[in-house]
Amino acid sequence: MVKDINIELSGIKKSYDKPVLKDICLSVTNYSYVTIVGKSGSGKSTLMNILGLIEGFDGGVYRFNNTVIKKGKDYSKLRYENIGFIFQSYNLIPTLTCRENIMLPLVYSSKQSGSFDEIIESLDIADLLDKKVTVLSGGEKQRVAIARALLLNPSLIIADEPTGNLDPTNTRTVLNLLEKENKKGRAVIMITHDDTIAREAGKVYRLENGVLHENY
Amino acid sequence: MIKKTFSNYLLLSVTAFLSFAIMFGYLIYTDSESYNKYKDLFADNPNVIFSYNGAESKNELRAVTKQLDKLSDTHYYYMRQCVAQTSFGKECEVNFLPGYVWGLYLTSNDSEVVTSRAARAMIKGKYEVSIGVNEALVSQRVYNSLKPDKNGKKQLKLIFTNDEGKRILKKYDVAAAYSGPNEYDDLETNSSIDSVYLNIGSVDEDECSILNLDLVIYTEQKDFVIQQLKKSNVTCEEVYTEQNQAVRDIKNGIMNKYLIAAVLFILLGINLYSSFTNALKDRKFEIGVKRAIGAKKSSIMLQFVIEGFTVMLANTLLSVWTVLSLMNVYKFVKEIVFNEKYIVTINTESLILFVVFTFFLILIFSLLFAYKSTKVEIVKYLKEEL
Ligand SMILES: Nc1ncnc2c1ncn2[C@@H]1O[C@H](COP(=O)(O)OP(=O)(O)OP(=O)(O)O)[C@@H](O)[C@H]1O
Ligand SMILES: [Mg+2]
Repeated sequence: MVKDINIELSGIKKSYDKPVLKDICLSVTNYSYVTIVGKSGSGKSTLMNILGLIEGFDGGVYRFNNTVIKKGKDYSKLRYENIGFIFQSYNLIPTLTCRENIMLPLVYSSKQSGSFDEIIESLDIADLLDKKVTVLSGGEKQRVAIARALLLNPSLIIADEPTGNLDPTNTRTVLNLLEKENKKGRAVIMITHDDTIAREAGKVYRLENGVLHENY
Repeated sequence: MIKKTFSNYLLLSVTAFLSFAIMFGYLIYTDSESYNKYKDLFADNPNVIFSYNGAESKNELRAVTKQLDKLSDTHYYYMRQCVAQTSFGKECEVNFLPGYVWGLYLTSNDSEVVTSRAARAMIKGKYEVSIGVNEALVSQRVYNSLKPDKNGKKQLKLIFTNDEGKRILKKYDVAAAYSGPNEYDDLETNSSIDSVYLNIGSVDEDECSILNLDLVIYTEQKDFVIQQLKKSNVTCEEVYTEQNQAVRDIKNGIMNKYLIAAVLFILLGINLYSSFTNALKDRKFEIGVKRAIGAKKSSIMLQFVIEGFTVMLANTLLSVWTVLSLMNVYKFVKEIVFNEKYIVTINTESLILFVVFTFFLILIFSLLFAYKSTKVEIVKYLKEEL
């Protein structure tokens, strides 16, 4: 059973030195499959970080399953209960092995893990498990990071360029996996540069000038 | 995992190790030094009272000794100097002691003969007795008054004062006890006189002179006796003024310890703080990742408290071990090279101080560390690595 997920963003603003996000509106529920495209530096990762509750925002309203997200509060429970985050830069801990990295969420959650073996098999990373993360290739790291994100059966999968470093075969594998998870009812928000990938999604947005435009 | 943690905490470990070693080393060194400085002093019988002017006012003294005679657990002796000739012509000091008292008779170094007429008379039928070094010939009455030690052995304890005024306690085994009256009654008191005879070799003349002692009292009722002496206008010195002074010295030492502990606490605190911050810098990415995948602030804090505690505790133990080893080397050098008996020791207060000190440093800094680690926005830690 996939838990209910219902997130809603309206008028989200975020600036660093310059404004990056100006007026983001987005709503995602179970079975949503949202793809976001946009130029490099347009703020896609920033938006993902805000969605993934690891970065604050300067204005607007973010509702996560009826919780109104406020700045400076700790939403660790929402994170480990609902979100699987695939980072653009993998964010694997270099001192741990792949297995330890993948299992890491279990340390912080009472939740039963998803089918570890199934995930490992579908991502074809069984051989990597006992290796140190540092020796892996970019594509291998990416798949390990994906396995970690899927481990706790998240109801929302946030994928920041999950196929950026993968060859066509592995790209296909990952997309199929995400699609399969989406069909079970999980919401997927994915960033990509690849138009063909974007076209597969249910809904495609283009992030431009700090605003999401419905595209295609 | 432990190895990994230690490499992360290398700088912190070095700082903590040095901090605790300095602290513990300071405490154990000062404690051992003062213990070894004062240990002879404290080995002395604390129930001894000296009176320096007893002889100047005989009536008062008599009043006092009358009082003392009533106390069963109190013995005293009166010492007065005169010069006597030993059998082989060497001059030596002779002391005649009134009251219940123990005379001091210094026999010649190698003489096995007690030459005193009085003593000769008193050793029943046997006119010669051999008194070795550290042995004494005492009267039956003195013998009866001596308290047996744990082994049932009776030892005569006498106190000498050297030229610098330092008191030295000397113990003598009883070679023999004589009975019979003593002829001397030099103080014109009604009391009879008991004499104690020592081998002259028992007294190191550099170490001990017995010129300036008048009345020496051993008592289990120190306060009462002092009161009596004061009432009779006999000035006295509660024995161990030196002991008391030493106690004061040690107390001052403790104050210094607290002061130095406080200073070290602040210095090491600053040091540890920066080391912790440094260790944290290396761990920011890890913290960021763990929190991003859902670790609660509290579980991150717990992890760092545990790690901090482990590291600090390991360093504490290591520093204690190192300091103890160093102190034993020091002891070895003292004993072998300088031929001084040296005991390594630490006072309870110091130990408590050290434990409290380390405990608080460990607690404060691992908590502070852990708290700091969760203060920053997660994404900032993640971007840290890039
Ligand atoms: N911590 C920060 N401080 C200042 N500027 C930042 C910070 N983080 C991001 N930015 C800036 O915000 C903008 C958006 O960054 P972001 O990482 O969201 O881009 P992106 O759309 O994900 O790009 P890419 O496709 O290359 O991954 C960039 O111009 C970036 O330089
Ligand atoms: Mg990006």
